[in-house]
Amino acid sequence: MLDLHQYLESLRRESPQEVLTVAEPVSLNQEVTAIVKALEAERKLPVLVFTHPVAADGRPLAYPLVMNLMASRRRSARLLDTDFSQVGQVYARRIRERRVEPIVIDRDAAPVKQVVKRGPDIDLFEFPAMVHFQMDPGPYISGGFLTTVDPDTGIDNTSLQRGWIVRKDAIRCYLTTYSHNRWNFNKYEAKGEDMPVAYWIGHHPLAYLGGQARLDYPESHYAAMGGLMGEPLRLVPSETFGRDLLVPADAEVVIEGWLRHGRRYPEGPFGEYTGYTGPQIPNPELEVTAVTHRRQPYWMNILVGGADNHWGSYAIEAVIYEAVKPRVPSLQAVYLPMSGQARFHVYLQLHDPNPGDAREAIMVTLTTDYRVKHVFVFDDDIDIFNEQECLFALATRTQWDRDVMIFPNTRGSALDPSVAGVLTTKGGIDCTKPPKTAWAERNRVDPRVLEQFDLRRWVSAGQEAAIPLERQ
Amino acid sequence: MGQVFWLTCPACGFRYYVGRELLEAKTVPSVCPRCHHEYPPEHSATGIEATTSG
Repeated sequence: MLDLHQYLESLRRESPQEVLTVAEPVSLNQEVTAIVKALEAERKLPVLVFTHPVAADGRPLAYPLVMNLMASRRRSARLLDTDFSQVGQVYARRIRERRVEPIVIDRDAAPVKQVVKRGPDIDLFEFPAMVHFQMDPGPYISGGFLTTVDPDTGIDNTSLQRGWIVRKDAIRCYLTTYSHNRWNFNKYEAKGEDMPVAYWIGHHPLAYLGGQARLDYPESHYAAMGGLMGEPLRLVPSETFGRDLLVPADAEVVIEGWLRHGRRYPEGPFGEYTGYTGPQIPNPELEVTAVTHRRQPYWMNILVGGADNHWGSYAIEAVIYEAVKPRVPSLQAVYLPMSGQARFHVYLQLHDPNPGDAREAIMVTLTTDYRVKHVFVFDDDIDIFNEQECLFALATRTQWDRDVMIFPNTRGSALDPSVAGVLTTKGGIDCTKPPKTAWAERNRVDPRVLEQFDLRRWVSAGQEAAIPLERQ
Repeated sequence: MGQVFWLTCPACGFRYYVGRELLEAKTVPSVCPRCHHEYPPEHSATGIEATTSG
């Protein structure tokens, strides 16, 4: 059965260079952030395990912190049995075609029930939650899925939701306007009731990918998680709500409680996926009633706004591919680059497009997700996973009086600092060559020359390694 | 997020910002991210400074 412990053991065994264990004490007050960002700047994204995290107030903490679990698209591709470029498409197909219903097990068999704490024994400050950035008000849960239940149907919903740990038994949660968890909460509030919720933290990466699937409302994520994992997700009744709120039995930590209706509290600022700090806003508070965890749990965290948050784009790539491909069969690949914070920019690659294909693809793509803002369409001689290639096409294949499409006053992200309110301007640029017509030839070396070519005849490996890298 | 509103904590002087929703929800105080002092936004040590809308 798949879980985070099992995954880390297998990764250490099969690809030990991809797991970096940091045994030196490290402060959770932005020091972890600095380490992750320094490695990311070098394009190094190992799973990081900090075995001696130190709380912002100087307390050494007992449980290890895991970072970058999902940061590598290459590792995600391996988990999905595909390659780097096909992650979105394969993810889309697996979510659509394969669902495995979860099973409910006895609590005695559930690793997440090895330790159960209630009432005065609850202390969320024993976990290595981080202060990510300089304006954050305290330790945040950023790698936790919040599971809620639609009160009308009893169907569960799961979504990543940030939470500021304000007291040892209280968390302020930001449920974004368009999230299904928010819709559930709106229903409870309309009835004057509190909402049962459970954060679950740490699981196998495929469980995390399934939890991010874009599904209908209401539709359970648990079967999608099982579909990706290739085995039923094991669930167990929560301590507080029993079978009315089932939680993953193989998670590392589960935090249960009531999201209180009616009242709002200041929450944030928080360094967000946009790469900017979102402002302090009013949000509801979760009163924690029980915490359950493994004896030695990994606390998993995500550095929002960096590579560790990139994986959330696979679900968007999947939705785009599924929406565009039937209408524009020339679509070959979809990519949400990190330069657009893996949300705002979309690169599409078409093979031998027909007239109008690029514009059609732009229009469909812009409607798939409120955060998608700019769409760029390329021919398939452009590697859309190489931004230098993309900018080359933008520079040499577009005339902006002809190739730019602009759509003002559309639905946008409230966290985008360039929007007024929540309305944004979306657009697209057709960076393809004119379809079915002759076009200038790119500079190329004759293939007959390249056939015989070996750089080592003229430049040794040592000489090459000694040459300083240039900025492009 | 569009327009944000800079506040200065009257207790410790830390500068940070809040969203329009917090100012409009008259019953919700602001809390200083640095010292956790709670206060009405209009008590900001430097007043409320609005940024230009996006």
